[in-house]
Formats: sequence, structure tokens, C-alpha cells
Amino acid sequence: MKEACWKAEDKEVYMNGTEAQRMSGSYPLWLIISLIALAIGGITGLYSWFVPGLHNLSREIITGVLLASYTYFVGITTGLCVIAALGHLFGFDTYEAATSRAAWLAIVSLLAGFFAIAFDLGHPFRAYLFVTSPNFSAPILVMAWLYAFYLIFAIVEFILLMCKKYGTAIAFGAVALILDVLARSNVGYIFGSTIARPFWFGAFPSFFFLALSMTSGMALFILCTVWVSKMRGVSNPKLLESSAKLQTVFLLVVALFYIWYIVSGKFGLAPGRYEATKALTAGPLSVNFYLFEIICGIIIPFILLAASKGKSATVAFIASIFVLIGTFSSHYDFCIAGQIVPVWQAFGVRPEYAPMYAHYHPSGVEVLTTIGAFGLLFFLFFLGEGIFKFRINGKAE
Amino acid sequence: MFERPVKKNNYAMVVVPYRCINCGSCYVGCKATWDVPFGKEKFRTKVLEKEWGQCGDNYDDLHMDFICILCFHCDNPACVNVCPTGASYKRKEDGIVVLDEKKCIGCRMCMLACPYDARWYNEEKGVVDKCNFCLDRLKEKKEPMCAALCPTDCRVFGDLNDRNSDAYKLLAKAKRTWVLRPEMGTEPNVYFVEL
Repeated sequence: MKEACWKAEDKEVYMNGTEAQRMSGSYPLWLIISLIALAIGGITGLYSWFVPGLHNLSREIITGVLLASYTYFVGITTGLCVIAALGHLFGFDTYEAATSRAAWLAIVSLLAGFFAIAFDLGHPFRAYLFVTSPNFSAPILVMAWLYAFYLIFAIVEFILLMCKKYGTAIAFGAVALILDVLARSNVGYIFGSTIARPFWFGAFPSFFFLALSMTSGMALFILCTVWVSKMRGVSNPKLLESSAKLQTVFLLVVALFYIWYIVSGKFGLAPGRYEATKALTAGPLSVNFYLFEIICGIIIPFILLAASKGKSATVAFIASIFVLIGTFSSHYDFCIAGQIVPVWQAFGVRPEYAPMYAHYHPSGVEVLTTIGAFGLLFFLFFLGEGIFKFRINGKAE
Repeated sequence: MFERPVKKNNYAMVVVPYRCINCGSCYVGCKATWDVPFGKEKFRTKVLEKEWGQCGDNYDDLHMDFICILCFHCDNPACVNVCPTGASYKRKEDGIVVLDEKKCIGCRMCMLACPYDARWYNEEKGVVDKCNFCLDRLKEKKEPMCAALCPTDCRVFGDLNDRNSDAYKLLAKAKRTWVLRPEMGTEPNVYFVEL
């Protein structure tokens, strides 16, 4: 047996010949639960294609929770892509065992993002026009191309990892990482390029999204690793401790982004941006902002991780759930805050034409479709764990 | 510095705000011509009301302005720049910004980018819709329906390359001319004038 750390008795064989443990009895249950969530979301999403008007959108709130979900899932991809690179590209020994799982989760998360955006677009099947009729000045086009190429490189990297061709995998992983970071920052630029939306306009969204990517990607990685560790009855304390420490640093960076963006948004009463910032701090989005983004997304996980120092898998698991909830809320609030101040307010018109804040809450269909995206993410995660039996411990050869 | 492109026909709408009585003829005509759905009649063109001044004893200093909203057919259109498939494009010959429904993927990025909120999403078709200066009527040498039905000549359409057009004459004799949100750098082709 090549990996001495494995200690469970009931063993099965890896695809690469080493031995691994069987999943515990809860594995099929989670697989089925995630498949049900995927099915519900998929059916609801398809239904919304054929029955228009089921998304709670308006003249003011042009795009809602599905776009936020898309930005959230593709953000997770970037964080995971960096984690995958830590082991085999940057040579951090601790993360060698994490590479395959992170690479798989990165692909899966991107697919979950595609799932969400497909049901947000009016005609997703016209995406072939990105090739046949491209407008190169459009940030969306650049993003689509970058993600398309990223997906190709990421899949090839993953196949090479599974075939134990680590040297070539590093090369593909490096290109995938560059493409993904560019694509993710470009997602930020999609928002940052809209001069009509002062809350979004500028370079901030690109960097903010990258920072959120790191926390959300690391959170999903810790969550999935601990989950599988529990199912298999094995652990990797060093990896967990290192990840928890990195996560505390990432959380601090995100907190800094928040502080300065909120302070600068309030400063100077810049039209449009001030009102949107106020919507977050003392307006219709304030509960989301304080409770989910700040308390759930930053303060609680930071305290949990800092106090436990990554020694407790359960605490890291719980902290990761908080971070995932918080970062989802961050994407949602960012997406809505940019639109919540009606454009016509700039003309100083009467409130019936441009209220102080536009109203939005996701419809049931939007919520179920979002749940479907989470279902896809976790279904493919569990499926991958079952099929590929990724390492939790040990080193790549 | 952005320079406005030279066009064979330089179509523009000149709006005289004080002539507007907000009768609604413009959007009724628009709705009838373009089959704008029920409940969204004013989504292609609209008249906004803006109150200003102070409410004194005799209300002498209390005013209301009407602001006509339609596509401003900008020379530097933010909506066109962000459209990934080229569904939104600006016609080189006359500067009209049009939307090809068959190319629209319904991403609504153009709506987010427009500083005038001049576009709307047709959920039934899954595509964005906007004013196109009644292109079909222009081919028949007719002015856009909103201008044709305006009882007070608040909206005056014309080719600014033609010195005999009403729009050109209005601009030439105006005491003051302005565009909405010039700081956006979009160089719109809907002008507001004070005569």
C-alpha cells in the first residue's frame, strides 16, 4: 500500500492503482438529494423558458439572482483553480493531494454557473453567435471566449491528472489558471464597464470579485474535503490547517475591500453611488449586507477559523458554510445594488417615475433554478468523488 | 476626445420641452405601431415629469418640465459597445441605433449600459426592444409615429444634414440647446431646445 496514512479497513482501488476507502452509507443519500435539487431546478428553469414573465424582473431591476448566482459560481471556480495550482504548479507539498479534487470542483462549479446563466438569458442557444457574429468591444464576449478556452484547458488538465501525466498537467493547469483569472476579472469588468451604473463603474468590481473568489473557492474546497474525509473516515490535518489559515487571510482581504468601498461610496455624495451604498448600509439591502455579507460571510467564519486555528475539521466545515452563504449574498447584493437606484433619478423626475429604490425579491422560479445550480454543483462533486476517488491525503507520484 | 461620425443622413429628434402637454399621443402611436405589450405601453417611449421651483403663496414659481424619453441614437452608444453578438448596432449611413432580434441572446447588458434607460426587455420574445426612429416609416419618407402624432410639435424629427429640415431650423434658431446626461460621453442625437 503506497499511502500509509490510509487507515480505514474497507478498501477499494483507485483508478491509478493505489487503495482507497469506500464511502460511508450517507454517500448515496447526498448523491440523490443533490440530484433531486438539480432536477427541480432544471425542470423549473426549462419551464421558465416556455412561460415568460416568471422571473421577478422589472424595468429597473434588469437582472436578478440568476446573474448573481452565475458570478458566484464562476468565482468559486477561480478560487479552486488557484488551490489546484498551489499543489502542482507552485509546489506547495501540502496541497498536492488537493490538486485533482480542486481541479474537478473548479470545472463543476463553472458548469453550475453556466446552468444559472442559461436560464437567465432569453436565448442561450444563440451563444454560437459569440463565434459567428462577435463584437470584440463587448466584455461579455471576451468573458465567454476566456471561459470557453479555460474549460478546454481545465478538462485536459484534469484528464492528464487522472492519467498521472503530471508534467503536462502542470502546463495545462498554468494556462487554465491564467485564463480563469482573466475571465473572472473580466466578469468584474462587465459590471465595471457600465458608466450608467455609478455603483459598479470602475476597476473595483474586477478586484473585488477576485477577492471573493478566493474566499468562496477556499470555502467550497474545505467543505468538500471535510465532507469526503468524514465519509471515508480519513483526514489530512496539515491540509486543513493550512487551508484554514489561508482562509483567514483571504477574509481579511475581503474585509478591507468592503471597508474602503463602503467608505468611499458614502464619501462625497457621488450621485447614484451614494444612494446605492446607502441601500446597502441603511436601505432595503441592509439586512442582507450586515447579517449575511458581514456577519455570516466574514466575522463569524473569521472568529471560528482564528479560534480553532484549523485544528477542528467540524469548525472549518461550519465556517465554510458561513463563508459560502456570505459570498453568495455579496454577489447578490452587488448585483442588485447596482440597479436599485433607477437611472431616471439622474433627471430629478417625480418619484412615481423613479422611486428612491427599485424593489426586487427573487421569484420562486428564480430561487428554485438557483437551488438547481447548487444541486448540479454537489451532484457532480459527489459523482466525481465516487468515480475518481480523489486523494485526501498523501502525495502525487 | 470623441468625434461624431460623418453620416449621409444625420437623423435627429429635436424636442421642445415647453410645448409638451403630456397628452400621451406619442406612446399611443408607438404602441400601436410597434405592438408594445399591454402594461408596457410606455416602455419604448415615455414622458417623464419633473417638478421644480418653490411653492409660494400664488404657486407662481412652481414649474413642471416634461422630459421625453426614447432611444437617443447616440453617436457613441454604450449599448452597442457592450452587445456581445452585434445584435445592437449603429447604422453607418444614418446613425440610427437598431437591434436585430434574431441576433439578440437576451443578456440585457445593453439595458444596463444605457444611461437613459431607453431599452426594455420583451420577456415573451426573450429579446430586448427599443425605439428605432420608426425605421419602416422612414423608408416611406415618413417621420416617426411619435413625432407625427404630437399635437403640439414638441417632437420634431429631421435630417440635420438637410438645412431645410424642420429639425435643423429649430436647432439653428434655438436660444439654448442641450442633451441629457452629456457627462456620459454618449453624444446623443436627441436634442432639447429652448426657443
